[in-house]
Amino acid sequence: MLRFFCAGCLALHPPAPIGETCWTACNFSELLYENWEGKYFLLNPASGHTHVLNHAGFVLLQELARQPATLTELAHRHLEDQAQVNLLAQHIGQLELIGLICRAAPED
Amino acid sequence: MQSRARGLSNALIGDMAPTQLAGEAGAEGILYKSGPFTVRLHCEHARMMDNFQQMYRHHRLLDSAAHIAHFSIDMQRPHGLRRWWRPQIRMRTDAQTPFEPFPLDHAFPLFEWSLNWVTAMQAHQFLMLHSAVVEKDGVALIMPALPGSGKSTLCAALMLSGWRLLSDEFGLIRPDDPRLLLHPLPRPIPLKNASIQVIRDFAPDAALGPTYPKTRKGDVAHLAATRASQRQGEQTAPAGWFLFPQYQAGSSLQIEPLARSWTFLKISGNSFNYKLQGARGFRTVAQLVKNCPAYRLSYSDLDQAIKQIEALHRQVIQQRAPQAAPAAQ
Repeated sequence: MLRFFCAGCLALHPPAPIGETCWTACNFSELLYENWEGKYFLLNPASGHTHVLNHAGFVLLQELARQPATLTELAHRHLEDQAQVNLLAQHIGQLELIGLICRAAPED
Repeated sequence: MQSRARGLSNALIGDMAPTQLAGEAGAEGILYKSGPFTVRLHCEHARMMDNFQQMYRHHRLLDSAAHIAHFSIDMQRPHGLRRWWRPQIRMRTDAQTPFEPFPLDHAFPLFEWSLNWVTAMQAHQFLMLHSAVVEKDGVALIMPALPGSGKSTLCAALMLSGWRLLSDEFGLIRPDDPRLLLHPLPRPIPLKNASIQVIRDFAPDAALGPTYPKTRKGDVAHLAATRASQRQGEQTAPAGWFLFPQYQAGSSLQIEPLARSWTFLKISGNSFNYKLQGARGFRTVAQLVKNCPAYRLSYSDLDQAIKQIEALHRQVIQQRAPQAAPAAQ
């Protein structure tokens, strides 16, 4: 099977549909985190920022640390109701904004 | 050159003749020990030194030739018109003048705020929680400073009820110290506005200094740390528990346990240098939150609040006992 080199995670993985971005966790192994009452507190040593994620956000981050994926792939794996894909996209956008995930492959 | 201050070494500040103390402070300056820090104070205003001596009487002077100062505070009278007309005083430290001058008769509040400032800016060998810390039976109670919470009033009342003051402002912990020891910095407690009379009523014999009216934080009067607090300025205490006090006039006493997630947010967000400490700060705050239960206390009656705190403190100590005792087997 054809596989593409992912610049973000330096790994080979299946190609994403054209126009879809492949996402990966930037430096998950370096994060420090604690979980209390369903809230995940993460320190990103690279930025010095501490973030608070809910359970869904943390599972998404773990998933992208395990294997880079596109929004479509994540939606297929985790969403029973495809109408929630916008919510998933918002999560992705937020995680990128705070620097916990990054683009793993060129968009073209 | 032989330091004039060398002869003062190891003397208690309160044992000095006031004129000698003011003379040394105005000449070469004095060096004294304050918790884990050494402070060099040069002061051109003799009257400020009277208040300083009243507030720091059980602190020990050091030989300025044999110690290096962590902080250097220079209280200067400006030259020119302001020396005589509406006289002012300014603080210099390490060739900086970080604050606008204060009226001369507010010299002591300026000195205290300056010490807070240099500590917060420089003492990064510690994780600095913005908290009052008091100790009893060998265990520390940490009271984070949320605005308007009445933290200083409660801290003062506890100290006047026999607790040892570690600090009214700084919870100092060495990052990554597994024992989570709090280091004392037993400086005066600045009481503001209505709190001044509250403490006067609570303890008429309390060692309150003069009231400085209309400072930038309103009326301020300083309460000296008790003799025991000042003399045990190097005696650390392990973190026991957190209390977030909230004074509410007319309210009944209410206490509730707090979630660890909430406590982590408040403690990290309320630290002077949590972010600067990076991973060490995160680990240390996380360890504190795991080890130390946290409560919120709403109160209006100081006596009631103190009884409740004493009861909770005993409970915390009992719960700590199994983990604190060395393994017998």
